[in-house]
Amino acid sequence: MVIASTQVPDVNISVKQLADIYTLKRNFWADQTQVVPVNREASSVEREKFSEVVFNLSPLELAEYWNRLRFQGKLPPLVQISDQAVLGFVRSVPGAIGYINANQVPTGVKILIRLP
Amino acid sequence: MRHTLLPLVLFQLGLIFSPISHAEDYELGQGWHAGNYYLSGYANIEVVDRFDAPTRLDLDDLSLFAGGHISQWVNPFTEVELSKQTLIQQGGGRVNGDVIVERFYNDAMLSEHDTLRVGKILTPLGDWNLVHAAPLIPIITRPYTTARGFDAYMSGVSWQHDPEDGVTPDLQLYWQPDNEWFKRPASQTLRNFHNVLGGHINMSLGLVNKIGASSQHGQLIETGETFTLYGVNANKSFDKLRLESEAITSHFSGAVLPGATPRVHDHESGIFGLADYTITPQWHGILEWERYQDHTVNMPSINTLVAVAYRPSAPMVWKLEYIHQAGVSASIAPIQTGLKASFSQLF
Repeated sequence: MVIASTQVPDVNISVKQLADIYTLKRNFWADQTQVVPVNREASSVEREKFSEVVFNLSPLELAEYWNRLRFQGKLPPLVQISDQAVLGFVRSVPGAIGYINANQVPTGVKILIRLP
Repeated sequence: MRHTLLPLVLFQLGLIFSPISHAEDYELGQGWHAGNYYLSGYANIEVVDRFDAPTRLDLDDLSLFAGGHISQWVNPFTEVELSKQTLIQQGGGRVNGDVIVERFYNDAMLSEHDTLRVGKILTPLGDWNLVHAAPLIPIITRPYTTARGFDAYMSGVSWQHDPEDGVTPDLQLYWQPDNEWFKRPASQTLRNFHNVLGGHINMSLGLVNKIGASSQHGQLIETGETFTLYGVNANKSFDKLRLESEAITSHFSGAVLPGATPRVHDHESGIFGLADYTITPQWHGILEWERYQDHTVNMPSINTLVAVAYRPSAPMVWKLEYIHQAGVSASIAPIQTGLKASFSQLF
């Protein structure tokens, strides 16, 4: 499931919009707050699933894309190494968006979309 | 050189240790992020055996780049590298590397889709020049077409328009009114340029596929010649096969200053094609072919390359390649027949 800071104005999000955010093509929310995407670590099951559902790519292929962006001076999504760390980050950073295992019942964040 | 670079090193350290709002755990290859600041880089080590010269082990690149996203108007970025340092050479001898400022610029976001960039940047000409770090490219030997015939490091001002609607192409225009800032040493650059004006248009089709066109007009400092270049580039993936190609053609005219290499042709042109086949997610087999006609020599250089690459993770790659060069005397061709192996790591 995809979660965001409660300060994010959007109440839902499409898979296309999600892809734009994680490829750094969309950088601002509707109220012009900066979007701060958060990733899980490359070896995690959650990231593998997210990469497959949103991009139809492997984590390796997506990491290569982000590495190219980083070389071009763009900041790839930050990495947090557990669902709890993602939750903590999203709760505390305005504009943050992340994804966690759908079995969780998160508090202090808003759910933007449940991915299949 | 050290005095020139000291402010830059301090600038990088300043970015790194600026106040932070949120941080993440460091993992090799993903850079170090602290709030809106980050530090990253890469190392590339090469073994070069050109058959007719002593085998050597080089630290080809040790690059450090740092950036910050501070406000709409202040988004600095800098990259400094140690380049071409011989570590070991068969029979002794060594070449000391150079410390080079590759990039140093600030981005001002005029809008979400428009960026004004001022400083020293990688010139948007083709695709390869924008992303040429060893861990991010498929082969060790960079094709002539991607670097030799144009100003690859532009110092001045550029405007980038990125509509991000997936339909309209990206556009970048740039102008270098004078010489290169933090000029690279003569050992690292064949040609120097000034009074450069150019543009690049790029259409991305998904994350990997793209097609682009470029143009550049300027003057060579060493010869006084004026040149106008046109180029095209394309990347396309078919399941496990990725194809990549760039082509340029330039027209040269005007002065050839005393002592400068004379002009043999009025045109210079190059084309390369590369096929990268994913054997397994980690192993790649690569073929590349290039024809490059320099305007200062009679014959074109025909370069054929076969390579394997092993990428156990995204930021790390081992490469082994054989290149065959024909057509131009080895004494004036930086690309020469031989074997190369490399290890590259982003950090």
